[in-house]
Amino acid sequence: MKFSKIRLAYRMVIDNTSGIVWQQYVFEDTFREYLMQQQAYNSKENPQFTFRNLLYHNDKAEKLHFLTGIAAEPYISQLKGNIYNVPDALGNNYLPFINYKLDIINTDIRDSTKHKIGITFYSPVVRLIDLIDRHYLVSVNTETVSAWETLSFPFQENLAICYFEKADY
Amino acid sequence: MERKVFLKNSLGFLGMVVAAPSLLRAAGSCQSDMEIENTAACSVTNSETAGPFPTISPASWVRTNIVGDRTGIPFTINITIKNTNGNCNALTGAIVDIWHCDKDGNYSEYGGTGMQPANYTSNHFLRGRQTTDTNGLVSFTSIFPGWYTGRATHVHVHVYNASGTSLLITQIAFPEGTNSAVVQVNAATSYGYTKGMTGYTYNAGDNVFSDGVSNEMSVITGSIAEGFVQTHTIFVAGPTLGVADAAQKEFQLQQNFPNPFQTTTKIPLLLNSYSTVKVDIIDLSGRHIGTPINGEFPAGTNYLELNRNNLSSGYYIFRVIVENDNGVFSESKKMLVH
Repeated sequence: MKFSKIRLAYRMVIDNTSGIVWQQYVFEDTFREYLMQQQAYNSKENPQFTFRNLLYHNDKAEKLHFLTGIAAEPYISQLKGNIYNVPDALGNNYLPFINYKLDIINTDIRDSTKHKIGITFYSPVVRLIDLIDRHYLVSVNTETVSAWETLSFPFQENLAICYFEKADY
Repeated sequence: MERKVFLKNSLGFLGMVVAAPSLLRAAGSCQSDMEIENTAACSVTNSETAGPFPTISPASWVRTNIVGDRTGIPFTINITIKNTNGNCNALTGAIVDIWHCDKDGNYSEYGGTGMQPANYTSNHFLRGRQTTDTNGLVSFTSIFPGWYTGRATHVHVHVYNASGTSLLITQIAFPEGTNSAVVQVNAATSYGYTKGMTGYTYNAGDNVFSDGVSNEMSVITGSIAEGFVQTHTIFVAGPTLGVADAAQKEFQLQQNFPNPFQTTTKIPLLLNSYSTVKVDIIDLSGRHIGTPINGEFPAGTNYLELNRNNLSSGYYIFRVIVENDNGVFSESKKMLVH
């Protein structure tokens, strides 16, 4: 049989309504970091209050995505490579991630409640064996063998295939 | 938040407690997985209090060692921050961010573009933050930066005051020329610096430094074998000192001795710079008695000698007025004449 290799991406949105402690820490620290970093791209005399307005006036403010994201790094490392929001069908295994990207959805230097960010987690390349009962049946073993341990992750919001490698093995 | 979502998320963090050896890492038997599942299920009810909650770590970007996974010649970066609004004294508590490229001229957080083909968008190496100590100093452990087309070797710096207000964004320049650290390092192929100096942009031709590097030029000492140390001072327009702070920095007035006195006494006065010093004597009713001292004094500790003259016994105030390039400062103390 031939199987494709895929990479799954899961996007978590964090705003001031996020109830999880971990998300609150990320929320607070990324907002604080944004306040510091935006000064380099904003005008002192005539500041743009929201990130989207700042970006409209200064293309270089694009860098604020990763500059702000650095503040999330210590929290992301606490997850130890597991996306706890995406358990498998059993509920005790989690979609692994090897990479992530933080993006600022919008924020406002006058009002932290307007702060909203997204964190997209990227899984390693996994073998897509099948789609069964609205589940991705995958194996982290991408070697060419005849049998694999598998995991099944239910289809859900904010979970997508972001990379596809046509199988030829 | 919906209860369902909340429960799911709570369970998520429980996963950290259980530390289940998941299928993802090791192929366990079905039996052991069942046990793990049971353990997880048992833990669910008391998760909120028992779990190791995520630790708050706002300062973890604060790090001395910024090398990460990079290799190269060891490089210590010592930056002193001084405050032009505080007589150019050391600025304590300033937040200093630095970032620079690796030995091949690549930055973390960038890449996959024409400007930098190597994709390091998910790497965080060679970036760090520290807060200045009482001497205004921050020190980073790093590797000697390489170079890339169009730029001389440099280190980026962003200085904030203690509350996070941006004070200055600048760059640190490197000495160049025969036998400079830049030349030595870029010839050190055994350490992975493979570019040499062919195509290097010198400071004079650099679009950032070409307008003069006198303020931005650092001092570099060391060797390939021992590593290099960069020393640099950056001046920022930091917080303006209050009058009391400034006065304290300008001079230190101590109590006269002997005190009480009968014929003569001395007032120790430590000056930071050459100043004009006046001493007024005032009685307790506020009446100006006289100005026994009015002259110029050098920096250092001076002993201002007062004679009793015709002063009657009792308490007096002596007011010391120090005037120099930084302004006029004064301080008063009480003395007793027998």
